[in-house]
Amino acid sequence: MDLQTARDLKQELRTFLDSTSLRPRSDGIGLGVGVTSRPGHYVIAVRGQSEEAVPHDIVEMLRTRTANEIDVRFTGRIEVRPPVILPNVSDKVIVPGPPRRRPVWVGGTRGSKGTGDELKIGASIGHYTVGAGTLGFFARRRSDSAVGIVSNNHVLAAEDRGKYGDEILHPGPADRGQRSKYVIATLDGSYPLLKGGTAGVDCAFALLKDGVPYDPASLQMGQRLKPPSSPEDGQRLVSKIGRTTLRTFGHIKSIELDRIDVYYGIGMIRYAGQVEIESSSPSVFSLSGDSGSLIFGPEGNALALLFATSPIGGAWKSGLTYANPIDTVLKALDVSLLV
Amino acid sequence: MTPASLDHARAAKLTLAGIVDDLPELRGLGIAMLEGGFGVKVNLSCIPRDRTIPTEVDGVPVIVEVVGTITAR
Repeated sequence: MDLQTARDLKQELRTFLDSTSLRPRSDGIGLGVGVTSRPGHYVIAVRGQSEEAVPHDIVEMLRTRTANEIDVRFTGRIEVRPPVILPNVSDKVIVPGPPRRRPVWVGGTRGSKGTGDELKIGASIGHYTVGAGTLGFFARRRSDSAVGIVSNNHVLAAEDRGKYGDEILHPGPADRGQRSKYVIATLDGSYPLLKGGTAGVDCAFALLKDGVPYDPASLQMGQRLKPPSSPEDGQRLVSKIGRTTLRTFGHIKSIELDRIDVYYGIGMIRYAGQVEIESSSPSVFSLSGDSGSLIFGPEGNALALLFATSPIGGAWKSGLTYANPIDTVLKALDVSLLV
Repeated sequence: MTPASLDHARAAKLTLAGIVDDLPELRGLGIAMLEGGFGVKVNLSCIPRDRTIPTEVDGVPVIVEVVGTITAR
């Protein structure tokens, strides 16, 4: 929904929550206008300090009244932190958030002060209309051996809106990537659709532009990417390099996970056969902007492609991460992993 | 409870699907990776008020976890 609609709806919902029939159970619910990765698209942000503060039946009522255009988070104790002012929003929407760790475009051709200057796994990328996500891995298209990059559909193809030849930027637009300077790839429009898709994946392939230097196998810390393996092999320890949280470590909590309802700007998509990951430390395994990250094992073997998170759950109560198994991604895109 | 083999966990997952499939709170049903074997994992948006989830199915441990609403990142 647009900004004005979101503001009007927020007022309407506040009045609804303040009605005598819902109080005092609704007293712990905060409402706001939530920004999304799609420019100009907003949702109703529903916040509470704990699950108990946001009764499930009230959330379902809000979900119905907003046609699923809500973003529910349990915040825990909220502390005052420096605000982040988003650019390109005319009325200066201020979003309190965690301090940003720089650089946000790791392993890239810009901002990199390492020995190499190549595009690498973990770099900030995005469709020119999307905020920013993560470069998952490099791949070769089977039909013509063309080399490109793989990330999520919602990073490279703007949730099914991307067309053949659309520009992919590095860094992504939210990291000041500009269409005039920073185009590193063009979208292959034959990606699996989210809406009505049957592949059970959130992925897309973009053709790397000629002359863009890249290192397809660098995983930082001297590690190199290795061919895919299956989580069924008993491999539990995993890692990822993401645009927002950089290198994090976790372990696979479950596999072959069905009936997962994931909420996007375009609505809810149900997945089956997914991988669930839990952080190995009190720090989160992933945050917004890490979408598209490659999940890999201790030896560097590719395992899965990160695409979603839950707000709660996990040993540290910091949420769980969800990923498409790598074999389903490679098959859906008809590409092979470059190592 | 002792973790099961992958085949047993898959069979138990199918059985449990028949029990929990109509739960509006269901947010995921999969194979839990446990130390020494496997179990069944049930993810929920919140704990149902009027239903209980079994702690084991055919000798396979069932792990229940509240995960809230999952969003693309």
